[in-house]
Amino acid sequence: MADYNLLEELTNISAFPGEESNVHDLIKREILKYADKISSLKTGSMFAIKTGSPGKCSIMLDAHIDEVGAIVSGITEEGFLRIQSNFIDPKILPGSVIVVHGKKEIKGVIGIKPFHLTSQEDLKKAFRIQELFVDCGLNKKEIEEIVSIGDSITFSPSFSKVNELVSNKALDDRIGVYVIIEVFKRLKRINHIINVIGHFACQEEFSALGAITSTYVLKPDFAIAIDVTHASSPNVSEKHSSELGKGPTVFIGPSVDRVLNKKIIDTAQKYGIPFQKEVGIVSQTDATYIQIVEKGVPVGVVSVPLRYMHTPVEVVDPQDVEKTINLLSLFIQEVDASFLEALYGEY
Amino acid sequence: MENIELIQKLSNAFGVSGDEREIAEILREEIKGDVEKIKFDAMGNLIAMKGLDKSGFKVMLNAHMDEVGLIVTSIDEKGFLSFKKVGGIDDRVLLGKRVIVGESKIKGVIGAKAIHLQKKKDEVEKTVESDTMTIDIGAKNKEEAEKFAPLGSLVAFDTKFEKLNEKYYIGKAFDDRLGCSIVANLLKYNFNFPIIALFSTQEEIGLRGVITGAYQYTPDMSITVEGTISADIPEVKEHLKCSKIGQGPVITIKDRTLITDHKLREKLIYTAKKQNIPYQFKQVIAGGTDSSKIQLTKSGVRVLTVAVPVRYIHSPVSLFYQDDYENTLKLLYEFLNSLKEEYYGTVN
Repeated sequence: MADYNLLEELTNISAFPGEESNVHDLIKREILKYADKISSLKTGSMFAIKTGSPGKCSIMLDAHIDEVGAIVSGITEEGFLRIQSNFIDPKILPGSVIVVHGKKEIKGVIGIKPFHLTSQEDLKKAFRIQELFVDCGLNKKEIEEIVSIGDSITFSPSFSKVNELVSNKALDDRIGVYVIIEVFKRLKRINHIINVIGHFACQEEFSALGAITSTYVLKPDFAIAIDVTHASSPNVSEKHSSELGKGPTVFIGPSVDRVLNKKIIDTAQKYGIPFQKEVGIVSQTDATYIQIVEKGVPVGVVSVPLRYMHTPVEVVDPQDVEKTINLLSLFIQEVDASFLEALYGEY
Repeated sequence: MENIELIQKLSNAFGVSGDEREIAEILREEIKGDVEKIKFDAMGNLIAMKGLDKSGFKVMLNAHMDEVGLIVTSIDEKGFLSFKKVGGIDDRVLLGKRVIVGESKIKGVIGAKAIHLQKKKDEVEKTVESDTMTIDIGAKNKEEAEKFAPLGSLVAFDTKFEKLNEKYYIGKAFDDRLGCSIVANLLKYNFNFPIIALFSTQEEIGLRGVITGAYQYTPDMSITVEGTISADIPEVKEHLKCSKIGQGPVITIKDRTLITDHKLREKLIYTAKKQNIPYQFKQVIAGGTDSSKIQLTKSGVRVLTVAVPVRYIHSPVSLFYQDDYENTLKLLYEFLNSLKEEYYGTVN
């Protein structure tokens, strides 16, 4: 049974890349109950550690805190905000409510010219982001007291249950943060020989700053990134994506470790946890960056299938989330000397 | 702000053209203590009357209850819903929005293909047409979807009414729930002539409900109260803004469907000036309202159209300014208050 309150709290908070500390207090509040050590890093990442016995090795579970958004690039004479973004499809923006993170948080709407005044020809033109604007109901003087160029903008939170699914902005990748918190909860009841580091990464959507620098600091022996992956929907073929409700995906491809991956898959099969294979070349997750820090780190990627990525209406199936938590907890329990030997050649 | 609770209730309620029952119920509850008679007709119009014992000309106050939305037209094997638009909506405001579907009121989202999966240039810069979009209600298959959202289910935007800042509000369906709220409010006052309030249905799909309402309860003059286009946004030329937020009630001279009554309009403007109430004229000949159908009823009716300027109507989220609402209400109150039987004699 998913903790819907925690899911709602986690996804309602806004954290544009670089503003991850907005979520730190909440993560701290939750994970303090289960971790032996917890600390924030100067980058905006934070981590928690649950030590194992004897704890000679460490696994890092990584999920990113940050979410997609836009930045204010200009203020018009009338007080409207111009925006820029590399993360978002401008076609989803007209008619949406957003939050501007100025000196204080204010809401605004991205409006377009009314239908009645738009020519047939214009109706066929997709908006480019530079044509859009944010209306906060303030004039230039009023808005300049609160908002400056460079301030961030995120989707307005709108946590909803859609039948048995869960929908909000920023499920990418707060759902991963949630998974790690829940895994830590289970670790209290599990005997594990390795130390478990929960890493809550900053700036995955931008430069992978957190993944790269924290791996250098924390020096895990191996790592699993927990992120989201595209699930099929009417315009997204099953041939190239996962399906909602069929369990987490395990990434298969050159950018993950073969031995580690086999152990993840063996664990799923041993305990009858349904999973899907996500085949790719280089995964678009923190794992890709963690893998090449220092002398190299064996990595795996386990993802929760998600529809409509980088929109305010991202959707996941809580049952997939539950299965992801099961798989990772059992994986940690299953890690034994012979696996570590296989991974390193010695233990 | 006075009326804000009612506006919030009306804006959050479900009332896509063809199913205005929730709106009618809120309004009936709101006005029942202020009027003498309440009727529903075959079109679902809510008609309220007061001052029936008074002699003289009958004044109709009209606002439409329905809002634009969508209707479910087919369901695929996996349980995704295809839809058509109910009323005039720009396809480009639909992607990635939350909706409420059908009588089950199940929540859904209009899916948008992730930007990562779009082929550069080709897809990113092309409009997605509404007939290729689908609504996701989290159904496991076609059968489950049919249970929650049978074909023909109406779909409304799932937008919460919010205060944006001190005097601005955002929400859906301000066209025409602001009009409904103003008419309901005017019914609290007593004037020296009979009043018929016509809260009409199906305005957004061709000004339909109003026709039967006005035929059954035909007034001598009528005022339609609307939430109208305000395009005072970047890149719209000054003379094409239609109306501006903050400049007061919008008075229609001519739109696509009618020319309002010159004499009544002169009196309305005289009232505004006398009472120092700001007003503006609708600048662009666009849109049409129920008043055009009322005007054509039987031997003809003198009509006016007065509206609160609203930005981004017919989209999931629109915006209005408190003073505009209050000034519209005030102008209509003062205008009605100034009407005397002798005056009506001078125009008829």
